[in-house]
This record gives sequence, structure tokens and C-alpha cells, in this order.
Amino acid sequence: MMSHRPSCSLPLPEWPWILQAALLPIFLLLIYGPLSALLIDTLGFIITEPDRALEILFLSSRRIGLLLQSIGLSAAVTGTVIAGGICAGSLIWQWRTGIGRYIFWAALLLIPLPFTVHALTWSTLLASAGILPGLLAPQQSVHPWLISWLVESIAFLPLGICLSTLAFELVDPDRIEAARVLCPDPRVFSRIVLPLASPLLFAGAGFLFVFCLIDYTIPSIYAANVYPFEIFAEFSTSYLPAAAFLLALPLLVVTVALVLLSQRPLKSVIQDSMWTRREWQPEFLLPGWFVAAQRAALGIFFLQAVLVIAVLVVLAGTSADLATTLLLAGPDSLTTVAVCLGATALSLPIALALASRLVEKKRISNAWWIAATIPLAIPPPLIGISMIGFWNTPGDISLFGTLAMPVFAVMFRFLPLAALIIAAQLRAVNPLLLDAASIFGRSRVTNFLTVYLPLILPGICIAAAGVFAFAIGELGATLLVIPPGHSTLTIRLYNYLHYGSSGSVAALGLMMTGIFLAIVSTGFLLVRRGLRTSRIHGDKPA
Amino acid sequence: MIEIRNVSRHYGTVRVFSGLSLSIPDRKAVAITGPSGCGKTTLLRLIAGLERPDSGEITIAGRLASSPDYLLAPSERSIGFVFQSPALWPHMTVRENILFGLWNLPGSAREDRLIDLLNTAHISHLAHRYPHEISGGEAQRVALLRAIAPRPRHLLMDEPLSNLDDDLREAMISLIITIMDQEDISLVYVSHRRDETDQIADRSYLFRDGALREVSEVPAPGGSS
Repeated sequence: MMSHRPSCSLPLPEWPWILQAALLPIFLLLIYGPLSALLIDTLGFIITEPDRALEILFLSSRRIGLLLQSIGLSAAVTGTVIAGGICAGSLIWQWRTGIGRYIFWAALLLIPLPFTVHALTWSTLLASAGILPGLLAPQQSVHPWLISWLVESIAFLPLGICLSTLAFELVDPDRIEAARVLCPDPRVFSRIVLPLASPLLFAGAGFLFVFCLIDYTIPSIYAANVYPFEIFAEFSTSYLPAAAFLLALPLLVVTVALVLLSQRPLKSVIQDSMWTRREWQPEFLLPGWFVAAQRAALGIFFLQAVLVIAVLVVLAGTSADLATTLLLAGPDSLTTVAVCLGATALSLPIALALASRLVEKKRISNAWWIAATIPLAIPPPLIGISMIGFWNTPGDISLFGTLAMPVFAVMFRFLPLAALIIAAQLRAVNPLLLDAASIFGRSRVTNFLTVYLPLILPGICIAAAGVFAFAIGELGATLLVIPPGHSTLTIRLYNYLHYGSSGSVAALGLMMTGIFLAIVSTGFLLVRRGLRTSRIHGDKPA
Repeated sequence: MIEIRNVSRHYGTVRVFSGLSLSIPDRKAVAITGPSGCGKTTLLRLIAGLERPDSGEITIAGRLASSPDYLLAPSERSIGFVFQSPALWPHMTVRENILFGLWNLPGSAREDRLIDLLNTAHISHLAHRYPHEISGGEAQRVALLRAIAPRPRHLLMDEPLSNLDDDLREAMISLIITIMDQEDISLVYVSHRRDETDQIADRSYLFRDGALREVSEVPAPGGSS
């Protein structure tokens, strides 16, 4: 059948091969170097201590229970977030030419807000409602799993909303309208819109499930022991990377399988979708119960956004030692900003090189897809453990014990995400514009700088803002590789949530949120400007 | 009959048309031609209920269908719509695409109708194929069958042949004429090509600068009378 997009085998100008040849090995070294070292170490451990290895590999009933509980929590959170996302996202999509676009940007802004800030907000509210015994005693919670589910679902809701909105945006409006003249809207929504939006929804749900499963931040705050925390605890007591890896294997089997399963629909979305910017607004007449659910989901999102800021301001304002806290956290802020900026700056060129491989329709791109998405399945404690083994080498130029370690840890976790975002942007560029540039442009370098780069700038800005913002909240890997004498704001906030005073926690949370909002808003403003520019110059897929 | 009375439509500050009035009689084929961007597609979308007029009203078979404050659901207007692109649903086979609009018929009636339509268009062999497994011309035939399957009283076609080559175009025109004769429906056909509209329509309207400038009776050899 006819294609809606001009045919072009490669949607980007050929890169200087030397740049590709230099950047892609760095990607492989950063991610697969530590993983390979961990694998070799584990093989050695199995050979030298087979009994111990078998003992760790053997799944005790306690560990089976822990794994099932973790999977149950992740499934519950994913189900809630995707259902809430579909409800709120479909409403935002229906309002896409009006207020919807602003709500979408607000949700995008809130996605990477650190888990610790969410935990602080909800601990405060739950303590004031008498559900928790006190703000700084969340670990005494009587409903650890329930509260973990609640807080994690709310923390991930903006992601669910953005994913769903994007999924609906990708549905060709003509296909919806063709159905609307034939059937009532509820049937059109369930039989046409949802199935056509399902590739991104499934991929999003798969990745979201994995993110929930590998992260222990929120459950550990509320004393819900999850499997990834067990990996951290094992390494903390034995200091044996191989033992931690063997312990993580059952979790890895689940997460890697899910990532590989989710990769296929995501790939089809990025490689085949028609990214439309047609100005249309569907006036769907949906059943009353669904409209109520849409409004409730959007209401919860707004409530969450307002509550986060309100709780932080109120708590910080009532703190007597606010100034002391902020002063004490000064060096941590500098470390945080340095790590985040370093990781962002180093990630972007590598992510761009990787993204250019991901959008190619060649057999080799399958291998790059696997290479790019596997890191998303690795639990953060295991990332930290593998990095310690790989980078802690004797010699004068060892990077171990320097700030390069947390920078690499953040890159390990979020560089693949940046590559996926940029790949989506590469596919949104109209290849005819690049063809025109190659005919009329002066040279490849000029074409790259004056045509190609401005066209993909929105994706690069989103990727940069995303890496920076997620880096602020990174805990699981950073905690293990942060050099002695240094700390990030997230680590300090995590520790305060266990031991500190509420005012200190709030002040830190406010500071983190301030840095986060300032950087991410700047990124998004640049994106919006870029989008406007590309629209003016006709960057529209045919 | 479709009655359009004093309808205006703006996109932001851009006026598409203003105070437009038009009658489309039953069982007649009406063509609307005009340069790109003159408002042809917008007019079809207003008739189908996919957009709301800024002022004026549209009635279908004497019943109010659209006004600034009221919008009858598109599926309740007894209208079929064929877009410029086939817009087939990629997750459904040809058969499922055509059957989609027959959701309120009993199973045997649906199957009978499907067989009739596939035979008329000579594409019975494509019934179980997915849209990506058929050609552009075949896809446009399926889109036409899907639109007329529920036996609408009015069929709207928005430049349906613009992506086809001359041979396919001729074959498709012949199919449209056959269907018009068989189905006893009115047709509103939008195109910028006079040769196409002359073959299909009984009457032709020319859109220019947001207004109907010219009305011509076309001696349509194949159009319904």
C-alpha cells in the first residue's frame, strides 16, 4: 500500500565514519565493558566456588516470595499508571489544539521529578492523615506495599499521561474520521483508536514495568522489601560482585525478556509511524463513566503537581534550620550539577550516533536495538556493582574514586533513553528536506550544521533535559559509586528521609525541585522554540 | 436532501468561507471543484459532522445536523466518506474493514452484503488480506466499499483518485458510476480535476475565494439522473 512518507533509505546525511567509529565503541565500552567484566568475574566465581554459587542461585521460598511481591507491585503500578494515562491522555489529546498542549508540557516536565521528592510529599500527607506514624518514620508503615503502590503510581502518572497522549497523537486522523462516520464514538475509540495506539502503549507499559521492577527507592523508604534492594544488601554484606549478579539473575531474566518483548512495538513506532502535526480536534462523544474517569485521572495529576510544591514550601518555610540545611547542602548541589551536566554533555553525541543506527532499516540495526535497550533492564545496584569491578583497576590513571564514576553510572542508565528520544526525532524529520539540502547545500558539513542539526534540535533538547532531570533523581547506581567525601542531593535527601529532620528534608526537596524545574523548563522552552521554527520552515511529514 | 444555509468557517483568523448556502438533492451526483485551499474539503467535513460551523446550519433529510451549538454525531447522518488516502485500518483485514460499519446488522445479512460488495468491485480474492498486502488502487476500492457498506443516503468523496495513475483512475470512475446506479444514493464529489467531475457528476459547483462562483449543469454520461 502507498506510503505516507517520502521514501528515503536513510533519513539523515551520512556521518563522517570516523565520528561513528569513535563514538559507538565508547557506548559499548561504557555499558558492555562493566557488564562483561561482571560476567567474567561470575564465571570465575562459579568455577572456584561452585557450591556457594549454587546456593545463591537456588531460589529459596523467601526469595521466590520477594520476587513475586516485586512483580506484583510493578504490575499493579503499571496497570494503574497506564489506565490513568489512557484516561487523562485521551482527554489531553481531545483538547490537543487548546489547553491540552499546555497540560502535556506540564506532564512532560514532571516525569523526571525525583522519587524522593514524591515520597516526601506523600509521607507528609499520609502522616498528617494519621496513616503513617510520622513523617520521618515511614519505615514503620503498617501498609508498606499499599503505600508504595500509591506513591509509585502517582510518581509515574505523568509518564503514563505523556506516553498515552503520544500514542493517540500517532494515530492517523483520517483513519479515525473514516470510522466516525460509520460507528458511534465509543466503538470507534475501543475498536480503532485504542488498537492503533496500542504499539506505543504496550511498549510503554513494558518499559514502565521494568523501571518499577528494578528500582527500590520508594519501596525501601516505606519498608517494602523489593528484589533489587536485596541485590544492594547482598553486595553491601559480602562485597562479592559475582554473588550479587547470581542473586540478580532471576530478576534479570524477567526484565531482559520484557525489554526485548517491548522493543518490537517501540521499534515499529519509531521506524514506521507517521508523526502527524495536523491541526485537528476530535469531538468524541464518549460514555459518561469514561468521561468521569478521564477527569478524575487529570484531577489526580493536577493535585499531585500542586501538592508537591505546596508541601515542600510549607515544610521548608516552617523549618528553623533552613539556612543551615541549604548551606550544608551547598557542596552536594555542586556535585549534583557537575554530575548531571557532565553526563548530559557526554551522552548527547554518543546518543546521536547510536540513534542514527537505530533508525536504519538494516539487519545490523536489530543488534543495535538490543544493545541500546538491554541497559534499561539492568537493576541500578547491579550497574553500580559492575562499574566498581570494571573501573577499579590498579594504575595511575584509574577513574575509580573520581566523579567520573557517577557520571558514567548516569550515562549507563539514561544514555539509551536519550538515544531512543533522538531516534524518534530523526524519524520525524522530513527526508525531502535533507534531499533538498544535499542538492543545494555547499558541503556535507554545512548541510549538517545549517539544515540537519536545526531540524533535530527539539529531540536533542528533550534528550538533554531528560538525561539531566533523570540524573538528578538517580540513586540506585550512584549510591554505590559516588567517591568518598561526596554526595548528591538525592543521596542526602534519601538519607534525611530515614534520619534527618522534616525541615531539612523539605528544604533539600525544594532545592532539588528548583534546580530540576529551572534546567528542565529551559530545555523545554528551547524545544518549543525549535518546534515552532521547524513548523515555520515546513518540517512536516507528507 | 442536504441543505447548507449561511454557513461560515474560520481557522483562527483565516476565513475559509462565509455565508455559504447550497442544496444537494437526493440521488444526484454533485461535484465541487476549485483550486487548492479554497475550502472544498472543509465543506465535506462540515457536512460529515467532523467539524462544527462557526455560524449557519446544515440539515440532512430535514433534520438539523450541525449548527454552532449542535452537532449530530457523524455516524447518525447516514453518510459515507471516502478520503484522499484510503485510511484503511491496518490491524483489520479487507473483510473486517468493510464489515466495520455493519456492526448493527445480524451476521448473515452482514456476510451477504460483504459478498455483494466484493463481487461488485471484483476484489473477492482480497477479502482476507491486510491493507499492507494490497496495492494503492485496491486499497481505494476497499475504502469505497467500506463507505457504502451501511447503505448511506449520501456519499462524500474527497479527491479519492488523486493518488492513482490514469488506468486505475478510469477503473475507479467506472466503479463509482456502477455503485451510484446500484445504491441509489447522492454523491458529493470533491476534486480539482474537471475531467473527473464531468464523468461522474450531474451538477458542478466551482469554489473560489470562499464562495460558490459558478454553477453548471453537466451532461454526465454516467451520472445518475
